[in-house]
Amino acid sequence: MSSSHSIGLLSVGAAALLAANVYVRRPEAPQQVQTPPAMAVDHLKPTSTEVKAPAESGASTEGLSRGATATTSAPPAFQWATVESSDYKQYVANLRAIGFPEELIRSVIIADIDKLYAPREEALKVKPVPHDAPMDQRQSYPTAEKMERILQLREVRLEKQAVLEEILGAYVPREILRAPMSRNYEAYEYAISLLPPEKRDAAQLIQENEFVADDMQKIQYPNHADELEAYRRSYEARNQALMEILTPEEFERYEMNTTPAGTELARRVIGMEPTEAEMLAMFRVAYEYWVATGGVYGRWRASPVPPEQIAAAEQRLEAGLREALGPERYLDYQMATSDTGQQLRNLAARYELPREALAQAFELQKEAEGVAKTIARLNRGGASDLQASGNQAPLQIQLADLEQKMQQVLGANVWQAWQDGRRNQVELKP
Amino acid sequence: MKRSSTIALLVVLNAVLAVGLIPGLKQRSLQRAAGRSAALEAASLGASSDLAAAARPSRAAGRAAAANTEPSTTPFAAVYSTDPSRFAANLRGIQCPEETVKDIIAAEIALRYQAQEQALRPKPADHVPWGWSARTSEGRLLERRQEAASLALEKEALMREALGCEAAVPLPIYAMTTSDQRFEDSLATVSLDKRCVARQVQESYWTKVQALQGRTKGFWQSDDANELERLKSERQQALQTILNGP
Repeated sequence: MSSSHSIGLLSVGAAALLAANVYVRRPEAPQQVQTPPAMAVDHLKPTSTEVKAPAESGASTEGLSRGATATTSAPPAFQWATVESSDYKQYVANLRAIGFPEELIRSVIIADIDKLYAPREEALKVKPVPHDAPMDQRQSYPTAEKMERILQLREVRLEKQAVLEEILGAYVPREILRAPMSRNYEAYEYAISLLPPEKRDAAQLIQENEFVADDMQKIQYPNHADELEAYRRSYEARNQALMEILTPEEFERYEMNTTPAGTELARRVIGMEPTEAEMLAMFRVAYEYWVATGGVYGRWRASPVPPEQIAAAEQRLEAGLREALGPERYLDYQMATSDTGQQLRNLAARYELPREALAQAFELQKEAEGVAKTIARLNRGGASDLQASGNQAPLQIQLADLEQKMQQVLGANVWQAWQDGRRNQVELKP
Repeated sequence: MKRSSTIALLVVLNAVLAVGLIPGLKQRSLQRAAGRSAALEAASLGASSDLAAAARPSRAAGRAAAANTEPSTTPFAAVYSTDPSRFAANLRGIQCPEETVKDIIAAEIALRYQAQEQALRPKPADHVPWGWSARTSEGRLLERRQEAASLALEKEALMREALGCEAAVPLPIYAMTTSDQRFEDSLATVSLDKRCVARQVQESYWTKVQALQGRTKGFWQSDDANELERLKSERQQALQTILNGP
């Protein structure tokens, strides 16, 4: 290779390397953000006036971008209008496509459809009555007009549920139909929610049909005995229908959570926080008691029963509960179902009393209340003052003794607190 | 000699330029990576329409698109914020209609409280049977009612912060009292400003009652009962001033 040739090659190489150095060190041109074609935005933009300009809706672009680049470009490339669609299924698909979490989509669609149906529902709905309203407001007597309205409401809600399930492709619960007569409707909703999803709609319809039949029968049968017989028949029809779709275990659990024998028991024993198994064991005993004392399905003592039969049933109930729960939990049951027990539990929680002290205090207090009742009965019995004081003297000594023991168990300060607060029942609502 | 010097000079020059090219290439590579990630963030909003377009043919396609999209690159991720006020502002920023913003924020807040609400959903024991007194000293029942009311107030406060003071969260029926209904009815005819202040007074009352309830654990002594009466009286006076004032 001649030297002139080498010089030529080296010169070209140097020029190329120089050019390469200049190229790699030049400032980077800003990368263009790919924006969707305007046509797509326009095509999907809703025609309603719902879409407002940011200024109009108090909108802010603050925080739109987490990265620095997003804040430097003026309006964001993505606009909500691209998601909007007059077709709900399309709208859901669009939300999924832009990464909306499934639960959020579900809630948004339900809220949207709820609003759509609200005017029709509101016209048929009855204002909810709080639990502390006067007794005469907590239920209303059924009339043909009211029944007609609630059936229309059910139709609207069934339609809404079908629409939602079609859009979302999954089960959507429907609010339970509330008939004029007072019932534990929340318990029915709870019990239905525990059933397998594929059985819920059918069980709900069967249950609601029974509400409707029961209330209608109150209009149809002015005579109590006839009405009770009709109630018995409609309830049996409801049981039959439920047993066709539920397993025996599901049916028993459903009954425990809906029939007053179970729901009233649940309210009375909530303080002992029973397990599911304990609740079921107690329900079985309590339902036997309910029936033995004249209960007809959901109706408390609907059939007259002699007092001795009731007394015998009460003994069996206590014995059955004691056996089902064992001594420790039976004590919890007793505390949960008495005002004294509830107040002592509250006292123990506030002053951190050990369980042993609480159990002793409960037994002593129960005994003291029994003695105090006897003294009161003697006072009311019409005996002469002299006779009454003669009978009362040993009882007063017994009462004083029990109170002294109670003071020892609780300690002086907690005893003082018990004396001060045991009868205080406050109302928190203003 | 002259030619050999020229060749040597050119060899050195080439070597210097070649060595100088290496850091340049490295820097260039880093710039590109940074540019891509920044552009990706910016483009994540813009790319959404393409995703939406891809999803249009079928719902299944929409599902697949959502499932296959990395959370950090979706338009949703770009507008989402754990702060509901910021999330609402971001949604407004992309021209989301106000009603939809409200629905999304309400749904988002509801999801946050889902587990707590599930624990406090009405159960068979919560209903006061007809014929039974609503008064009870059973701590568990009162506690559930109180917790459900507090949760609704907490949600409402978060909603108000994000959407304005009109946002309201309904109480579960077992937690709602005649007093709550009377309060809501009393607001029906007053101005928005007054409603907002009245709601704050109500919220403040319940916050203080909750603190009192926490302290007493359901066992009320005379001093506690007196304090409760004082709170009721303060609330009543404050509401009268607001609702009857000019």
